[in-house]
Amino acid sequence: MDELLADFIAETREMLDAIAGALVRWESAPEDRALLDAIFRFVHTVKGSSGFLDLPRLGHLSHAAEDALAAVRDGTRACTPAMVSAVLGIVDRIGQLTDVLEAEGRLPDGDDEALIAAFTLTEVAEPAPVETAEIEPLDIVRSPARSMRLPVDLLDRMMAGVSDVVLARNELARALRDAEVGADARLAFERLTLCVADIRDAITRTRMTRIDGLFAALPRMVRDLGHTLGRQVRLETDGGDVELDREMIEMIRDPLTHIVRNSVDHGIESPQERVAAGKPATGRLTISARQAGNQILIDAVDDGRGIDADRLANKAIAAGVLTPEQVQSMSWARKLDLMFMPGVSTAKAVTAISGRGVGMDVVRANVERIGGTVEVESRPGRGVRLTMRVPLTLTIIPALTIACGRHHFAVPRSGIDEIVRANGVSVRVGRLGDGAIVEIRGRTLPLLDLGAFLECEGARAGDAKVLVVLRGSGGERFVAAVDAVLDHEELVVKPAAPAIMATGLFAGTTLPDDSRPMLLLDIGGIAAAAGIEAGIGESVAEEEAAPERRMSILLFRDLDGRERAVHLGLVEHIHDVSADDIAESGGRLRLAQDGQLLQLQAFGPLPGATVRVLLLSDGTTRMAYAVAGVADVVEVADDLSPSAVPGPVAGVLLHEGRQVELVDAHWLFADLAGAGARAAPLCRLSGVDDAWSAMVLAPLLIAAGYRIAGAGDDADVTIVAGGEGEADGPLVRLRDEATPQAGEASIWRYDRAGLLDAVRMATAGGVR
Amino acid sequence: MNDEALFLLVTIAGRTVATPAAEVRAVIEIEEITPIPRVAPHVVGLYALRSRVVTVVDARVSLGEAAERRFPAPGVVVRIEGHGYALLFDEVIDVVTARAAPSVAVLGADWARVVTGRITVEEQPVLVVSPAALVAGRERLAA
Repeated sequence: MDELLADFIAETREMLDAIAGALVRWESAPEDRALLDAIFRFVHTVKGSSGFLDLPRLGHLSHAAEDALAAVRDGTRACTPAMVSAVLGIVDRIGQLTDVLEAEGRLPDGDDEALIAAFTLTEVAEPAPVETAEIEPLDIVRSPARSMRLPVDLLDRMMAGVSDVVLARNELARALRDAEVGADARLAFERLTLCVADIRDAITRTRMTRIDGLFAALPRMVRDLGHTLGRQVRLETDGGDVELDREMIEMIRDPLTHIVRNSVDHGIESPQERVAAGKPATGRLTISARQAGNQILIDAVDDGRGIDADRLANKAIAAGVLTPEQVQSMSWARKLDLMFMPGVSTAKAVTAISGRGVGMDVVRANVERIGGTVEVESRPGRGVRLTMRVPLTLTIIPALTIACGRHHFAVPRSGIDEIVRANGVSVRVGRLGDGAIVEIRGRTLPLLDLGAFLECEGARAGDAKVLVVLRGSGGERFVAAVDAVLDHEELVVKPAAPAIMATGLFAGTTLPDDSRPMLLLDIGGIAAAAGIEAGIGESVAEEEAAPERRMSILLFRDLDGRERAVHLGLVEHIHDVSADDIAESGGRLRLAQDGQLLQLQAFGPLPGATVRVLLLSDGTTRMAYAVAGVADVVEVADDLSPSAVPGPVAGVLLHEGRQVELVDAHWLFADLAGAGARAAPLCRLSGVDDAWSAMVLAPLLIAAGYRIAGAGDDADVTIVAGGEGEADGPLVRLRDEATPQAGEASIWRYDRAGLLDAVRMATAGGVR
Repeated sequence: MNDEALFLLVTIAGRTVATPAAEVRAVIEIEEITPIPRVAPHVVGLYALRSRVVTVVDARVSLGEAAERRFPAPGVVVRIEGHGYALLFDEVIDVVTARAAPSVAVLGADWARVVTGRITVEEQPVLVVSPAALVAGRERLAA
């Protein structure tokens, strides 16, 4: 069955269950506004969905009920018992038709005029109980569902249970090591470990969903809506890979649907109007999702006619919601906010899609129920931006853990701009008035001693060693001085108790692998509490004229005593592992970790019983890298001086006057992938311009995944830069001039795409 | 209130009080907690109860008494409005069956806030305190 249809059926059924109680109570209290609203929303939603799913029978039924209920809401019609039973008759019919729809995949033909006529009858007079409202029994059996809807609570319990199993496994592992059991027990234990890891993985995935599942339904909806309404709309979606808790996705599905519907119906004008207004005939609607700190932001931006806040205000006055005096003192933004009030809508005519002022109040109510907000921004004639912010609860977020005295905290990675050492070269700490500031590469930012601010035990003022440049979701930028940056972890964040949230400093709690609870800092909240406002520091010194490319690296001391560094993005974890978990076989070191065997790279003898390892990941493959110690996370200019020969070191960086070798992650992964260094094609560079080949061409090729041939190697391709050059195998010739010369097959040396294409073509046949 | 119910007998600042056992999820030994900076004084930290994080609340401080904490300490795990809490008492004594009656004692403001009734244990009256009120602490009194 069509996924949209299945969604509709499930949604309708859930809503029916939810309003069942309201229906019963409404019969005895027809004047109750809240009950009326609940039933109204139901028929309104059914009407909207049946419109774009092309279910005219349901649309007809729900439209009739909505009309009647709207009249009651406006006060133009009394709520008589006959009218109540007519509405209930329609709601029942909708339920039955939904069952048939599920069983047969389509709606049966039939006549609902008798039901709908019940409204007209009640209008004329007050006849005896309307017998026409009786429903002919529909002969259906609910087919068993093919998929199951599980309460998220149950998944939570499973998740908690599995986490407990993991902790128990770790204890068992320690006990087994001490007990020195036989190989059988070890084997069984390894099997258990694998199973546990599998289950944990599966359950974590069960809860997390990419938001593009939600976006998938939008294009068709927009197309159908545009078709019905005679609008031309181009929909763009962005950020579909943002991961969100499954429950959250369900909660924002309806609000998003409403927003999109509203936008196409009321925002985007007809092609004629648009052309007349000097806009392209096709309107644009952009839905984008992104993570900002501990929130997910979903933006719906259209370039339609916008919302006239003054007209909203007049509507509110007309509806009796506000007095003219109240409106006078309201700002534009406050007036715009009126669109979220029940009973206020700017639509001139009621349409089949939306426009009774029900959509937006439902949107706000639903989003606020999950702790989110909806904001609106609009310029008449230019369009509307609606922003939904929903919390990231139970979402796994990448975070850095930091230390202030004896306290450890987690900071969302997305809120960290960079990390610098307090005594670094381009860092100067000073005071401005009674506040501390720090100047980093010419940019001045407010400085907050986090340990002192959070009254951390064991933190001594002025003793902090590491400066973390933080950015709140509202744009507040400041520098937090902390004692140390500990680790980079993926953390499951849960909401903290109300008393803790009341401080405004924390976004939630999390339980890292070491089983010691940790608080996640709310960067925006801390900025607010410390009196740091958005925009401070930005104006003091503008960004450098030519922003140099920078990269974050993790500095460490390798087993051979050298100072080396690795791209921070590759580092998943820093772990201390037992040397017992490391074994050598077949000339390779392997580390048993969380039920997986990882290849281990070590450039020196292992230090002893405990080995500190970096867990590196290229996105698909993971490996471990044994180090003597982790020094720091720093950001450096991306001006690598590349190595002359391919190998584990990509090149040398200058950091605080010292030479630091940057590990060549590509070589490491390629080497450990078992293919050795064989997988990457070898390029021989030849030509008159050797300096250019080595300095410019080689790094480009290496970055693109090729290797550079040494003197004795058999190259897959020869690249000749300028001048004459011959080769036995494939040849790529580069020229100095941008314009080609007649009769010569060559590529301009700065035509990056063309060059890489040519090399790829040349090596495609001959990769060994 | 005719039905007999189970109560957990604990001591706070030397006084024996009872708390409805139906609300108690577990009684645990708390060894080490993660302190929380800049929070209300009775909220003393976080504790990992297996794979869940619970918020540790000191019942003494919630009642306006001075903190006197030594770990390990007994913690009574309750769940309030979807959040897990561990209440720190001086001692967890026993579980008794009793019938709750209205409290008739004249109490100070701190105690009046948390007491919901009384039970009789071995012919001695014992006050019944509400875990939710202990968790809420003194802040709500001012509000």
